[in-house]
Amino acid sequence: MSVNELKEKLAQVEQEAFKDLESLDSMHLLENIRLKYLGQKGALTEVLRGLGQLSKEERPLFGQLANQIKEKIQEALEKQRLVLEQKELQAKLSTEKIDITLPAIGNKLGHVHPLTQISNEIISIFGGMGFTAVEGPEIETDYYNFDALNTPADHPARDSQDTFYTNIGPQILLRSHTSCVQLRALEKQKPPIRIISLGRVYRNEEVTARKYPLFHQTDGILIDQNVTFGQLKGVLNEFIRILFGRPLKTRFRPDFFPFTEPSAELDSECLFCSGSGCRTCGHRGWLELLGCGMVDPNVLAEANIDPEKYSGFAWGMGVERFAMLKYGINDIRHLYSSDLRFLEQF
Amino acid sequence: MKLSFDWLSEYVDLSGVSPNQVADKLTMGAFEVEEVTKFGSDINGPLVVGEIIEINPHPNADKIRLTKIKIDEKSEARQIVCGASNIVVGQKIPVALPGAKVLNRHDGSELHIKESQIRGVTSYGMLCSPPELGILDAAEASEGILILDKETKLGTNVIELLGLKTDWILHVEPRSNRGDAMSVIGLAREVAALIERPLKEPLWELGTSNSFGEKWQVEIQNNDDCPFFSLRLIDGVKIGPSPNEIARRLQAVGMRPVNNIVDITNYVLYELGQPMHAYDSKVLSGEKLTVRRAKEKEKLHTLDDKERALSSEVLVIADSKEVVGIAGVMGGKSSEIGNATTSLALEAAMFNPARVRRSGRLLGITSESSLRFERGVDVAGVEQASNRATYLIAKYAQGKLGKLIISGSNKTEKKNISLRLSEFKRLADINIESNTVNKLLSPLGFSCRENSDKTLAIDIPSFRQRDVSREIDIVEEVLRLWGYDKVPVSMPSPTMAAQPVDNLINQVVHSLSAQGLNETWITSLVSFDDLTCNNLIPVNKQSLVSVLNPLSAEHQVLRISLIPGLIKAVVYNQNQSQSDIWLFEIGRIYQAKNKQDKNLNAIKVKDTGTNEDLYVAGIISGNCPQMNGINWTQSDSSSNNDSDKFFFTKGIIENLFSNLHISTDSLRYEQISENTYYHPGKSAQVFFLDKAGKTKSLGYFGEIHPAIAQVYGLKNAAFAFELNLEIIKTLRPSPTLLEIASTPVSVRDLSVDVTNSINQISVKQIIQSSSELLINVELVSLFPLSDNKKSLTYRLYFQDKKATLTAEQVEKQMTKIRNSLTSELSATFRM
Ligand SMILES: [Zn+2]
Repeated sequence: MSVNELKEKLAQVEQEAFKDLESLDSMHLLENIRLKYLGQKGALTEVLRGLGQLSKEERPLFGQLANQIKEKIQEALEKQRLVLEQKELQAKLSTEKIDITLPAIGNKLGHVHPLTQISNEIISIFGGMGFTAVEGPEIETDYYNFDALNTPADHPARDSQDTFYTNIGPQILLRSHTSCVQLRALEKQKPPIRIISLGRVYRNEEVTARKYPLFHQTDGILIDQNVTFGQLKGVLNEFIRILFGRPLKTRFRPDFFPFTEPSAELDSECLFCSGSGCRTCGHRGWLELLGCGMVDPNVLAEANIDPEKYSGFAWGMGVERFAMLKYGINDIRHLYSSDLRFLEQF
Repeated sequence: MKLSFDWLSEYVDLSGVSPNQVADKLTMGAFEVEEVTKFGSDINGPLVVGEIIEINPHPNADKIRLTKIKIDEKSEARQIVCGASNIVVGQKIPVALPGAKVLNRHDGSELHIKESQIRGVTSYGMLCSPPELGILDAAEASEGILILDKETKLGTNVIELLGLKTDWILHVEPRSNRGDAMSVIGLAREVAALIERPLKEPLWELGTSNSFGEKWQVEIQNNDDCPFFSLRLIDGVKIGPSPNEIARRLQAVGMRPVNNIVDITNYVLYELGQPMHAYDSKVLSGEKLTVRRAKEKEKLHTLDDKERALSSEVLVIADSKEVVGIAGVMGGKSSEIGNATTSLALEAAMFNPARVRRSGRLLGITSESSLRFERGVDVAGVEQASNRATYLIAKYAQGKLGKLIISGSNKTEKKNISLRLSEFKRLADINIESNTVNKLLSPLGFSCRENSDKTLAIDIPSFRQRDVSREIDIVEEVLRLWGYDKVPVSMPSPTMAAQPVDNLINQVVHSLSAQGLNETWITSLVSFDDLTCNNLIPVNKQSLVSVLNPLSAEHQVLRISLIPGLIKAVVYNQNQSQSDIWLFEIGRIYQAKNKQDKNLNAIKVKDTGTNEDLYVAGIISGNCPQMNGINWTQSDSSSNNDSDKFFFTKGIIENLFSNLHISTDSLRYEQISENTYYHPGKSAQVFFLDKAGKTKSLGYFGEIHPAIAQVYGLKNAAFAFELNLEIIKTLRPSPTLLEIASTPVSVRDLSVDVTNSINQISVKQIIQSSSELLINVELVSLFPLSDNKKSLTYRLYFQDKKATLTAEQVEKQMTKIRNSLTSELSATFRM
């Protein structure tokens, strides 16, 4: 065969290949076309077989030409492959459709108890003001629960905290408040002191919507030089502001507690009626939140801290009370019911 | 304490001040007023005294009559129809005229009086019976019209005459340190200071006493128990109902009027805060009263009609024969004042507050009297109170004054406190001058003198010596009157950072809640039945902590495990038609220590002799989720069988440990039998194996014992775990990174056939110890074979951290593993 004939054949192969490619509409036929023209038994290879008949001079020129055509076909194949791939993807996407409104699958998550949530919040707010959390025993001695807190035996103040006594001994009781934890801590630390404690306390009371024979209290104490009543107001106002997410009007109302003097009850404007009076606040516009005061010098002296040099303030409050106010819980018994309908709301 | 606004106004001028304003002042002045309620009926005039001039029959009715009533001398008598039968011409009676508002005598509702036609006759008003005027407990209460004294002037305003005005009751929270303020006069003193008006002291006048009772004696056996005792003898009393005002005031504060003598002692108790007791002196034996401790086996029939057994802890008053009263608490029935009483012995004394409290507690009695003695009465005021009562008895019961017999001393020491004005600066950052202190304190009975050294000498009145004894007490007193709200707000200097909290509890909460368990808080004070699961759990009674004074059997003993509470929680939710109940609790359990170095009489006992340990426990009832990924379990995914739940529970525990950075490789499980909460065949004890090869028990898990499940009525098998956080707390390493090797990992599966009696863990441990190149071994399937054998398929992950492993190297390791399994467990293999 002559060069010209071969060239003609090449042109023919090229033409046919392009024609085939143009009419191709399915991905899996693409390989057939590649084999048909570029494979070992393909048309192009067939043409190249004639190469041996050409002269030494003609061979490289023809070879070059054949390679050009091969590249051209390869390029076209590749281009067509991309087109077809895109087409097939579109076709696939247009048919694959699911009902996205079917329910979610997976483990239901558990819920964290509201008392855990409020406790963490309280500890972290006071933590931000430098108060370190400490713990102590729930079974306490008369000394820590009462005597060291300026409440000797036969003091009528003991009446307000109906106490459970135990079989362990006449002086062993279930703590009726968490202030005893502070005392235990005061024995070990020297001022400056900033601690809070949070834990379970017990009172010998009938179960009602507002009372349960056990509940939780959190107490704090700060002892340093130059500690004032105004700082007590500042710290507690700040606590209320952060816990309830807005500044609330507060008032410090004189009261009596054996281990603080002066003592005060902290009231805030009612969260539910903003002070205009509603059922929750007994139409008074105020909510009693906690008790507080300056640490009684006797308590400081009992802990070997010089009351002339140091002063301090302390407060104590019911954790349930805050949880109930914050989450709108109207019955303390819910908190101890283990009722999933309750727990799963938190 | 209930405070009558009307009564209060006798001692402070309250004109222009409303009950609510007084309540607010008291509340902000340390005496919280919980509420203000109305007492008495809302009766309005015109309501006047009239006289019956004529009574004629009604032309159209039998039971009602026509009366002619004159209400003043000038105007004509008016016609009023009346149905009562107790009226006769000439009586003075209360008349409600048109426009008046009285009460319906049947139901107490409002009754508006107007001119009306009654069976064709016009009635110009109404004659009133006691209930129509809101007089409830009048001794002569009857169906008829209230008949007034003949001397009463026509036209007198009946509302004023009978004291029918509305009163307001302030419910004041009593303060345990302020016995002096448990009285109208005490609160009046506070109110006077708070509204800056003068206090008016109650008055009395005593004539000269006669010789009645001159032979009487009183003896105090121990002055600590009773510093001062007085007895006034009174003769010639006429027992009868109390005057209206006394009866009404007692009713207003919630006391039932009895008779004039009893009422007067109660009245003075309420007015001055001094409890008193009147004996019928003719009933007492021997003309002598002794204040002493009761003897064992002595008894007293008290006024509340109960037989009381006494002991030497109880302080009593005795005549020469027997006990006649419990000092400061309650009198005896036999010497009670009755209608036949004509002579009295009126006791007024000061008893030791702690002793009264002890007596009352032992006998289970709280009385108005004991409440006041416990808080301390003013010894200097005893005689005044006695005189005040005597005066009222003379006035209202025609008593004739006999002798006053006293024992002990009613003198108080003068006490004064030195106050540094600088303390206000130090404790409240305010400057208060001496004249301010004086102005604030003197209305409360304190007197101040300025010393040369910027201090004040302050004299304490006798009635405040119990609660004011130190400088700080004065500081508080001044600050509360000055106003806490005026103390400037500041913040403490920010010098300390808080130490971080151990977040173990929160880590556990997050791990378990993320695994689907709901956190609950359960009572730690339980019943004996729950503690022992109705006697199914053996307990060592010596180690229990129980309360001596439980209010109910439900809250009697401190729990020794969290499991029973969780079982009850499941049952509760099951009864609310819940099916998948997964719960956990973090809480303490309690135990008495074995050996207690009890020093029961020590003054400052600091050791409680008990242990409190923190645990976490959980319970799974209902379906487990279907496990995805590798699942070796046998059950098909829909059936969810019980042994799967055991392993699901095990997974929760292992995930928890993993969250706490405790490697599951360091955990060991052993079958248990001694923990009786669990099914013996489906439960395990979990151990931690430390690097030295020592084990520590971490807790238990498994299926709740079927017997317990049955007792509580669990519908389905429930699986529970309980782990000791005190030990876990000590195990948590902080994670350190192991190098992540970049060489490829080769994975091979190995099916091992062994006899059923061989535990999976034995197989796994042999595989693990047979090759150093193994980085992980997982069980991927398990199925039973015939001949009491089972097949376990493991997926083995090989890696050499320094070089790429060749297939030959891996095959060499596999051969080693197979050989070990064959020689140690006679295992066989299938391809
Ligand atoms: Zn409100």
